Amino acid sequence: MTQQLDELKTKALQELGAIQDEKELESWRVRYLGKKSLLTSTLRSLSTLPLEERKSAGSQANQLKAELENGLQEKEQALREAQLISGAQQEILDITLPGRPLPPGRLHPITQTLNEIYDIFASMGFQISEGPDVEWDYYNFEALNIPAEHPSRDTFSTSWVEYRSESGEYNMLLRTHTTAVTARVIEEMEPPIRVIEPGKVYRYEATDATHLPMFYQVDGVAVDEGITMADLKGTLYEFARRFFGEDRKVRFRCDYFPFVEPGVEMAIECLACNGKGCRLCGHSGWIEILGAGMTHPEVLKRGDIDPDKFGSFAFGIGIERLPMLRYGIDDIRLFYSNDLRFLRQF
Amino acid sequence: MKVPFKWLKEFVDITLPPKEVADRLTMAGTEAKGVQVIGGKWDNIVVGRIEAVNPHPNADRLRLPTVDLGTSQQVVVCGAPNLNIDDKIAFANVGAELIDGHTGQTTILKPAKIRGVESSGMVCSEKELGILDNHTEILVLPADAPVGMPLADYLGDAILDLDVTPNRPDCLCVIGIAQEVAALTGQKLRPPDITYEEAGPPIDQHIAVEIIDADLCPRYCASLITGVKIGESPPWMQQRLLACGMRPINNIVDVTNYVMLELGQPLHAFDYELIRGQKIIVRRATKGEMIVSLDGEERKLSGNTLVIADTERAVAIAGVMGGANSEVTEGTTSILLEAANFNPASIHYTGHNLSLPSEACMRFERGIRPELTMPALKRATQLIIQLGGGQAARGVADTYPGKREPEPITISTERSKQILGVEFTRDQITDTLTSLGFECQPGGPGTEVKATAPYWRSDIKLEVDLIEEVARIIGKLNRHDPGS
Repeated sequence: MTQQLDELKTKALQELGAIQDEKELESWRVRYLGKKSLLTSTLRSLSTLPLEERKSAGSQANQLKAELENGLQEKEQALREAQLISGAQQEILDITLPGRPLPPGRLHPITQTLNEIYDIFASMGFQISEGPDVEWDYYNFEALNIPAEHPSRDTFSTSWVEYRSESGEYNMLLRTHTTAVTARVIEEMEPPIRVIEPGKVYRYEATDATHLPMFYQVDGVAVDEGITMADLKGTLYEFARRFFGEDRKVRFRCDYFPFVEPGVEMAIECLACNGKGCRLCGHSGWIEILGAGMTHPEVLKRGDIDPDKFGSFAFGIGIERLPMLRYGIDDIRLFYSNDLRFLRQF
Repeated sequence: MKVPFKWLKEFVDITLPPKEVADRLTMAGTEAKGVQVIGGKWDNIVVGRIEAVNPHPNADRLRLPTVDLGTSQQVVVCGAPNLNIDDKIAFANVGAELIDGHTGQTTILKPAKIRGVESSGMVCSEKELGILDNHTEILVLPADAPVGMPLADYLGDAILDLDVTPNRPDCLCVIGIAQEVAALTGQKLRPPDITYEEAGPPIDQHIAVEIIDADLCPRYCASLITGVKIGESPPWMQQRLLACGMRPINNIVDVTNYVMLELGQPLHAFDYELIRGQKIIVRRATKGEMIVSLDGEERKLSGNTLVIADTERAVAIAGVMGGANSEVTEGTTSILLEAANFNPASIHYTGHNLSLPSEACMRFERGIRPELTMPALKRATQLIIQLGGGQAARGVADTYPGKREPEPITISTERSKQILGVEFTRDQITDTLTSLGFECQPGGPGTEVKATAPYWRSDIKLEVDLIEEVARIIGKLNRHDPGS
């Protein structure tokens, strides 16, 4: 037994010394340390030996096993180092180069725009409130003075969800404007209210350079005693001044939205032509930025707010348009096409 | 909505240029998307009359028309096939800016020698003038075109392209815009004359009207014109229809479209001889009832669709499209003219269900008022007599189950200050609302005005609606810069 193991040891170590690569090393390992190796079978057969012999053979076998494992480990390391050195010599790898940087991410231009808007309105005392993207038609339309069959429903290309309230009275849809959150805020909060409501909105529309089926809006509403149209104008002028700069001219013109009366549209002097008239502004010199107005008495009444006691204004801003104007981006699809060459510019 | 400036001027005196009018309308809520000028570059182009046409000595396809320009005559070389003596044409003198018929480029007309004949001027095609694309023929002007008049004065116009908000169906017509312009410029509206001569037996001996489903039809008015001759409508009417984006068809259909564009009320003309039982019945369709509409399609109707029927069958899908079985054709001599008011939701439903959106549909959907039927019916009857001859029966049929009295709304100076932050005086409120056609009475306390909206304003319901009217006409909502 002892002699057998000694021979095995000499042979194994000799072979180990001659090994040149990892593949050979692996076959060596299988041969001398694997399940079917002589050493393993010797260890297994120990129990059949008489007690005296078992002791000495056992310790010799275990010692041999440790020795071989040790040799294996050393050889493995030696091979790996040799490979690294020869690889470095062959590939001219400069192992002193610094590692690849993992650059920090940055905020999407729309997120940056939203943050800027939050700052502006927060400084004027507005809170932020959010509502669900999948909304009841009640909040999207009815509560906003747009009953079924109202002609202005046609102007919102709505994506409906196949889901009805238990009473069958209301349907679900993907909200077409964040004004739906205004309806919820008016219902849930007590005056004084100053809230802006950012979020995604959805339209069933074909995609082109100026249209997307999903885009961002920020609506806002203020309700308090003594609020007049002058407050609306002051607030929105301040927004325009801070977002587009002190010198950018702003104008209000009358417009119609069912949930406000009177209704206005705010425009800024065209950023491309400074009001002279160009293709971007349809030769009018002005670019529409947002819709606003004094909250319609019916809308306030639905939220149990007395329109005779409280004044209220509301507004809605399309978000993508703002960076488009500011940076001269002519295709809205760029925002959501995940092209880093575009996104890295902001 | 396209509004030709000259048409607008028939109803209100305008001294401002079209661009300024467009700007004022935009600021007051009806956005002008653009002003298309027709004839802005027609310097050196005048109305001429073809005096004589002689062959070209060296070319078979070319001819030499002599054109009378009033003070002078010109002989030019022309290749168009439709040169007829005495026709009125558009004549470009040397120096005129024209669009080249072949390349589409703008060119300045120069004297030229064509196959050995001097030509200093040109008889123009529509394409060369930039009106339409036709370049195979020259443009022939109406026979009453005054020779020598600059073409820009005779044919030029400015077309306002307006974006009317859904709450203002009254602005979907020329007179509605004229009312706005009148209020915005301090002028008075001049509605068209709608009188005509009536003759023969009263209309109720020819036709009876019964409204069965009054919830869907508040009012049905009809007139009868006999002895009509169907033909083309005159060029002035065709031009206006084309300018507004409608295709001329025949004098009767053109009148119904013309009056819809002018006054905002959709109308429908039936061939009276094809109406059976001398009776019009307005009712819901029976479930599965069939009708072949004017476009030749056979359509199956649901029980919610309102139809115009005679005693035997449906003859029109109310407010949406006429039926082929009662269509006005070349042989028609008697016209039963309909001006009715229908429930907006019902028309919306039917128009969408049958995929038949139309100009008429859009107006009904947005809620035009039943009071509008009568002036529109009279105006159309007058124009049919004028263009198609014939005689109007005495009176008009008028079934009006949905009549409601207009109710005055009170507006106070305090409330206007509460909403706008600016106080208007009672006189300012009264003057402004009156300029928009409201009737105003002083209210109880010295700060109130009781205002009754004119019948065409279906959008005025609350005090805030009145406040907006005052603010948008006086202009307190706009004209402000942060810098000022």
